[in-house]
Amino acid sequence: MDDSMNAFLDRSPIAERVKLAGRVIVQRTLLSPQDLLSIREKQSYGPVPKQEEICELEVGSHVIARGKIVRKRGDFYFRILELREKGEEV
Amino acid sequence: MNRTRKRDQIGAVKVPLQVVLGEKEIRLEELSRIGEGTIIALNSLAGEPVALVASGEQIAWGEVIVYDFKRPDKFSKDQIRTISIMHETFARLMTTMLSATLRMFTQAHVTLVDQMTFQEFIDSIPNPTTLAIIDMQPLRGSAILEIDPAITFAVIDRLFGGQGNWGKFSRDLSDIEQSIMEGIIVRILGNLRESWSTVIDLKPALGGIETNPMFAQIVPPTEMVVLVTLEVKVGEGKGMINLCIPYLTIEPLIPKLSAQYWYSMLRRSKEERSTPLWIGDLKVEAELFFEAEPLSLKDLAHLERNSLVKLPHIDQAFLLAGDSPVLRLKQQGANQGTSYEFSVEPDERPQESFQYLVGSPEPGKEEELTKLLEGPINKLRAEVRDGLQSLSSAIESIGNRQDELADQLYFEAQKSPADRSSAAPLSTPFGFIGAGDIDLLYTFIELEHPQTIAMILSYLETELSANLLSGLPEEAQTEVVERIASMDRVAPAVITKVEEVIEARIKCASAGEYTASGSVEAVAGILNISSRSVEKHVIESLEKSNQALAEEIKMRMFVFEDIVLLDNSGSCSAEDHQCDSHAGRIRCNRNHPPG
Repeated sequence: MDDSMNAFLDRSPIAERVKLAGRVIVQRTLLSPQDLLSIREKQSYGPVPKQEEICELEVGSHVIARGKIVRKRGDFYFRILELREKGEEV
Repeated sequence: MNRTRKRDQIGAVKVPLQVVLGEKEIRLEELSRIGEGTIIALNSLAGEPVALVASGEQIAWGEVIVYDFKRPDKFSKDQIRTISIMHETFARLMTTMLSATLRMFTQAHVTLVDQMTFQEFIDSIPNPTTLAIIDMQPLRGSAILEIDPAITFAVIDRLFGGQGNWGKFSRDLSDIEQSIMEGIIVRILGNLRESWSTVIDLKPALGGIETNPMFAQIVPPTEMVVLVTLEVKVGEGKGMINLCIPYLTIEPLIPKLSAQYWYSMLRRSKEERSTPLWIGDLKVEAELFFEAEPLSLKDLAHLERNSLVKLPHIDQAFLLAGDSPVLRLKQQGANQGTSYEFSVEPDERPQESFQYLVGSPEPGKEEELTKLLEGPINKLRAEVRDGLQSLSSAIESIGNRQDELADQLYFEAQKSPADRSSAAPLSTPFGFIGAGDIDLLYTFIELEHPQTIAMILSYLETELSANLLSGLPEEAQTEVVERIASMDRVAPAVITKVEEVIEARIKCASAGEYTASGSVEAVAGILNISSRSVEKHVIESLEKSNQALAEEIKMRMFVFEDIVLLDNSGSCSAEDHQCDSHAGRIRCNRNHPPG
C-alpha cells in the first residue's frame, strides 16, 4: 500500500464508517442436485468439518486470511493465522 | 522319454485337414443315380464362409480365395467390403464439404474398391494430374490422393468465381492453383480422418503435390495397394478422385478391417452418444459459513497475524450453493475440539434474494409464497425472452452471412495462429500491385486459368486491369472479359491465397533485379586485381562481343592509358581517381574521392 492509502486508512473518517460484511467459510464442498434436494427441515446437516480445522475469512468476495475459530471469554472469534498474499490462489 | 523329445514327436503327427463347402445327406437310391451333370444342392449358400475341419473337428471358418503368386491378393473380400463401407462415409463427408466450399451441387460416391499393384494404379491415372502424397501418421508410410484434372480445374474455376466448368484443361498446376488445391486437399484429409475414426485416430498430413505419376513412387511398383475410387460430380461435370493405400501402410489395421468389427464399433459409438447426460452427475460448489462482524476499512488495514474477528452468531451458519444462499443451519453445540453439528432451519426472514429450496409451504401460505415468487419469476421470464430475442437475431444475422462465414471458417482453420495474426487485411485486394508491376504480373499470369486472370483483373484498379488485358492474346481477351462479366462471389480467403502467391513472386523477382545492379562494379573490382593477361583477354573479348559493357567496365577500372594522368608523386591527377602503388601493381577506383 502506498503512503496516501495508509494515510487514508489511518486518518479518514470514511475508513472507519465504511464497513464490509465478512464471512468465515468453514467448509467448501461439491453438492449434487440430489444432495441439495435430500436436505429436510429439522434434520441434521452433514458431513461437517471439525472445529479446529483451518477456515478462511472472506470479505467482499475475496479470501483475505486463513485461521481458526476460537472461544474467548464466552464469545467466538476467528483468529488470523496467515494473511493471504496478493494474487495467491485460494 | 524326456518332455522335449516327447513334444517333438507329437509335433510330427499329421492331421487330416478338410475345407468343407457344404454337406448333404442323401439316400442310397439317390446316390446310385448320380452321374455327370447331376446337381447336388448343399446346405450352404454360395459365398458363405467355408468350414475348416481338422480330423473331423471344425476348428475355423474362412473363405476360399484365388492366390496368384505374381500378384498376390493381400485383402480378403470382407476387408475390401469394410474398406468400401468406411469410404462411403468419406464420400458423404466430402459431398458436404465440397458443396459448402464451392456453393454448388456436388456429389461424391464410391464406385470401386479393389486391390492391384502400385504400377497398375500408376498406369491407370492420367498424366498430368493432381497427386497429393499423404503422410498417414500414426501409420507408417504414405498414401496417394489423386484428383483428376476434370475435378481440379472445375474446383479452381468455381473458387475463382466461375461456374465450375472443367474447360478441358490438362496441364501442370501453376503456383496459384497449387496453393488453392492444397487448401481443398487439407479439408479432404479432414474428412478422411473422420471416416477412419472407428478403426484409428488417423492424422493424415499433406506431404506434397505432384502432377506426374512417375514422381509419386511411394512404394515399389509390384507392391500391392488398395484403391478406392470415388466418382465426384461438380455442377454439370464429373470426374474421379482415387485414394491409393499401400498394403504396407494399412497392414497394422488389417485385424480391424472386418465388417463384424466395424459394425460393433459403430454400435458402441452410437450407444455412447445416446447415453443422456444424467443431471444428477452435475455438481455445484457449496460453501458453509458463519457471518463475521462487519469490518471497517480501517479494521481491514490493521489486520495481522493473531488478530481476532468476532463471530457474533456462531449458533447459525449458512450454506451457499452455486453463489446462491440455499440454507440456514442451526448449530446444535459449539464446543471446541469437536465437529460442528447443524440442523436445517426454516427461513424466518424471507427476502427476494434469499429463496430457500428446503421446506414446503405451510397450509394456507401458498398464496403468500406465490406472491413472493411472482417477482423473481417474472424477472426471469423477461430475461429469458430478451435472451431468446437476441439469440434469434444473432442466428438470423449468421444465416444471412452463412456463405461468407463458411469460407472464413474453412480457410482460416488451416492457418496457424501466427499467420492469422500477421495477415493484416488490405483495404483493397491486390492493393500492393502498382503500375510498375504490370509487366511482371503479366509474365506470372499469362498461362493461368482464364478464370484466375478474370478474378485478378476484376479486383485490380481499372487502369491496371486495362493494361493487363491489352497484353493478353486476343482470343484470351474475349474469354477473360466474358468471365469477369459473369463472375460470382469469391471467398476473401481465396483472394488472400492468390495475393500471397503473387506478392511472394513479385518480391522474389525484385530481389533478383537488386542483385543484378552493381555487377559491373564487381567485374571492375575483380579485373583490377587480376593479372594483366586475364584483364586484357576479357576486355578485348568484351569489346568484340559487347562494346558498351566493355566501355562501362573500363570506365570503372584503371587502364594503361590512365598512366598519363599520374603526377610525380604517384597520385592521380584527376579528381575522381584514387591510386596507389603496391607490389608493382597499380589499382584505381574512380568512384571514390582521394582520401
